Amino acid sequence: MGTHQYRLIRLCLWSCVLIVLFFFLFWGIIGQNLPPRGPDFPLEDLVIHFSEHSMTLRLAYVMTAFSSVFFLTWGTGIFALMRHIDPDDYVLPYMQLISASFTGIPVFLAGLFWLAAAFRPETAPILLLHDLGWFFFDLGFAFTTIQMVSISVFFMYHQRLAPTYPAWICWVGIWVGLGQLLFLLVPFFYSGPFAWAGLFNFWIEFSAVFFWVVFATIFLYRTVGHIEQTGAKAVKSSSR
Amino acid sequence: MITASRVTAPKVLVGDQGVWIFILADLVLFLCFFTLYSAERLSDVPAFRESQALLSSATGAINTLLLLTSSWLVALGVHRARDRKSGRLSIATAIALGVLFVGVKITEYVHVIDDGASMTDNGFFMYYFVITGMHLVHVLIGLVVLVLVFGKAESVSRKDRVFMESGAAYWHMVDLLWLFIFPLLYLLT
Repeated sequence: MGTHQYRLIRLCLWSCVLIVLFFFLFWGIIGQNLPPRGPDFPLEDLVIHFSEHSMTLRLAYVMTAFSSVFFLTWGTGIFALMRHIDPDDYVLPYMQLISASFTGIPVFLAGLFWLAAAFRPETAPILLLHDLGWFFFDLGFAFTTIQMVSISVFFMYHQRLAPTYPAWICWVGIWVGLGQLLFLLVPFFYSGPFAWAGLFNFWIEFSAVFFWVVFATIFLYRTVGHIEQTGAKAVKSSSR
Repeated sequence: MITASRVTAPKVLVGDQGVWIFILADLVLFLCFFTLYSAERLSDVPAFRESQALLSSATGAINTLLLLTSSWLVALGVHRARDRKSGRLSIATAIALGVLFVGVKITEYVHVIDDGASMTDNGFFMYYFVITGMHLVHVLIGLVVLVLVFGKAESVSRKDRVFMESGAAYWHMVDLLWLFIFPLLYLLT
């Protein structure tokens, strides 16, 4: 693999910064979702919120929808790195790439639903669009779980070739991925710790996911440097 | 006779070091569940007691016995493998007891739901279904891990031994969690 390819992989990995930045700036701050409005938020207040902040919310959610492309570029960089480390491994790199691409879809659709609510707040079915946005946003976790687990299992398996991606972050990835099963509880609660704005299904889950995304990217970035320097690569069945 | 080498604590954790990170993180998650449950229970003890009365402590005790025995059998299997003996019978029995645990748990869910309880009824049943449900997911994952451990129970390679020890550590954690869940949800008055 040439220097140009390593540079491209690094560039793709930088998408992580854009994912985090767009999420906090547009969805979180401009979209006024920190803290989020829970399922028990009164409809009248929700309509007032979307009406009074229609323009800023449109900006927030169009950028939220747009940010979904960064999941694709981020996943492509990781895919190229995984394929380079082990050209014989087809399942995990492809599983990672496909699930990374699919992770972007719920974010895109959630952004569109909230955008539609902000576009015509006087006539739009605000409650339905708000709920649908949250269901897509949270229940799309299944794709992210597959991505986390496939990256973690791959690097756990290739610790000798990529020691710069430590085993502990692999285990954290599996734990965070499986922990997202709690999102399955979102449709059952209007309030409390398991509702979409609750302690577990918002604050703990999202913090854990962002912690993993940031740290995994840092270690992946270091791994690119390690692979570039050592030229480490799996040789059929002998290097594992 | 117990020799000095037997009582000396190992310098490193058994199994894969990373699996202990997973176990620690899982314990913290359940600790959060237990803390929230206890706090909510303290705010409305009579309602929690009333709901708790729907659970059968005998069923919980049977499941405790099943998991404890299963955990002991897994430890026995790993010890036998370390001594270059087959641990397959122990592991297979441990798996069978784990499956029984799942059966008893599902039967309990059916009874509780038949009695009219649901996850959205009140605080007690929300935590009951979430905590025991998450634990059940851990048991199911553990059973898959134990099946893999069974496949390696006669292997002498170091890598396979580490895998067995990691799987056993995970299964002990599942057992440990239940030892907190049982008194907290079924017995506390």
